[in-house]
Amino acid sequence: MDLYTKSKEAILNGNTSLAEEIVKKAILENYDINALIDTLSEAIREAGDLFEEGEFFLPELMRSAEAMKAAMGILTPTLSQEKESRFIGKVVIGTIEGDIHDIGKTLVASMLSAEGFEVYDLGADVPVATFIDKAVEVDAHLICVSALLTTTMVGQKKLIDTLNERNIREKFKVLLGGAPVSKRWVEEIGADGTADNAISAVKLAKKLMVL
Amino acid sequence: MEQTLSLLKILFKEQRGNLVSIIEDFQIYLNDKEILRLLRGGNSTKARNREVPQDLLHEIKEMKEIAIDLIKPRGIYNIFNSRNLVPRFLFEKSERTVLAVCTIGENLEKRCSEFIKRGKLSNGVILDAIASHAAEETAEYVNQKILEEIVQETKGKEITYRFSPGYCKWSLEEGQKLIFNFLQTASIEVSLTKSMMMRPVKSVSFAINTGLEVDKELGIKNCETCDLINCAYRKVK
Ligand code: B12
Repeated sequence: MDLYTKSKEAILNGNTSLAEEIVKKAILENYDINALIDTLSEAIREAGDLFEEGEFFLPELMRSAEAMKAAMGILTPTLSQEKESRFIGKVVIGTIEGDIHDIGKTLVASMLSAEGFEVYDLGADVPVATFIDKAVEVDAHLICVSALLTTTMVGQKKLIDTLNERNIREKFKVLLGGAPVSKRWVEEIGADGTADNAISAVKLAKKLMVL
Repeated sequence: MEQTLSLLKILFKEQRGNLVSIIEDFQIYLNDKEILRLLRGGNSTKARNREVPQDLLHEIKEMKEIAIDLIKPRGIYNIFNSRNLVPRFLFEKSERTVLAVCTIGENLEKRCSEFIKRGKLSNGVILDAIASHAAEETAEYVNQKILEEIVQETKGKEITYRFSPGYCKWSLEEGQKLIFNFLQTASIEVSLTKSMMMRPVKSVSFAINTGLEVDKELGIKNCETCDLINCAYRKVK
């Protein structure tokens, strides 16, 4: 079994210590970290599917999520070491209020910081006002808002509306993300863009900085 | 699993001239099968013949040991003249209606969020399932006790199953307001939030109609007759 397959198994089995061990080994042996992250992301989605299908019990999915977070916790610092830090811009990022899904958001945050963005990660379940206050405080260029639930996507709209009400919409570019977010939603609420994975998220963020 | 029933206390208290009853100091049983059912994912009809993993069973056992000391089941009820109750369509065939609220208390809920906060998601969701199960068992127990208590005055009468606000076309808001207006739930430490949710979360409010000829369709006999097809606790898929 190659290391990628093993890492996937570790996530699916919810084996935190094994997952940590494998990613540590991958770093030492100079594996392609982005490919590894892709594999891990695939694994957590598969765990989700198994749960949806009635195959997994909820605690098993939870253990997979725990293992995934632990692995990412080790991989993230190495991402930022890879590139010499050249400052591109400031980003405020978080998962919108009512939503605790933070794996994808954290991934985007790490990639952005790896590319040279100064990232303020507010975590999950973040109220609209907190996003905006932080963005104003640090004079951010981008606000990145993740929502994984169709019911919490409305928070993304609320954020745009609030920026408009406070007459500061033009000060920030707003990027949206999370599985249910579509281009159409972005247009409908007047955001500046979306991406369906962390790599394209970084590309988009960079593109918007040039403008 | 079958722990002994401890001493049951039914206190009668004078509240605003009304005699209300509080049922407390009893024990409920936790059933692994039910906990596993609450933890099973998916709503597909796909065959689920995978065996329950041993380590999951072990973790459930561990969590039950934590939970058992944190569950403080209790309930409050009183019996009212159905004529004073709205919406009329629910109560018009009934003569006397029992209103009740019960809870397992807030200790287990607190421990559960502690686990989640510390990243112990798996432990957390198991405790949450145990708490839901315990709340349901508490409602069942209180329901049975009430029926025993009112056996004299309901002789020869029909009795519905218990039914709760949010089900059976009884709107959550209207139902909760009614029940919480009629019962002084502070004595079992249950309160209602602005959004009509109960605190502690693992609480159940319900009504039982009694009378010569009641609407037997009321009440949840089983999930098949309930229209909440997306309910997380639904037993039939
Ligand atoms: C893991 C998971 C969980 C974990 C979360 C652990 C954690 N700390 O994050 C747990 C088990 C706790 C969980 C809980 C719940 N979940 Co969940 N969960 C998932 C699952 C399986 C995978 C999500 C994930 O981590 N994906 C991997 C990451 C890497 O991908 P990603 O999040 O999509 O992020 C990528 C892109 O979207 C993008 N991106 C993300 N954010 C951003 C931001 C910006 C600005 C940009 C540009 C890009 C971007 O880049 C990321 C990296 O590539 C999905 C199913 C799925 N296939 O998506 C369901 C899913 C999201 N969950 C769902 C639900 C319903 C829930 C619960 C409400 C269940 C419940 N009843 O309790 C709760 C949520 C409670 C709450 N209030 O939030 C539903 C949502 C349905 C809907 N459309 O509303 C899903 C879709 C499952 C389903 N099919 O029903 N969940």
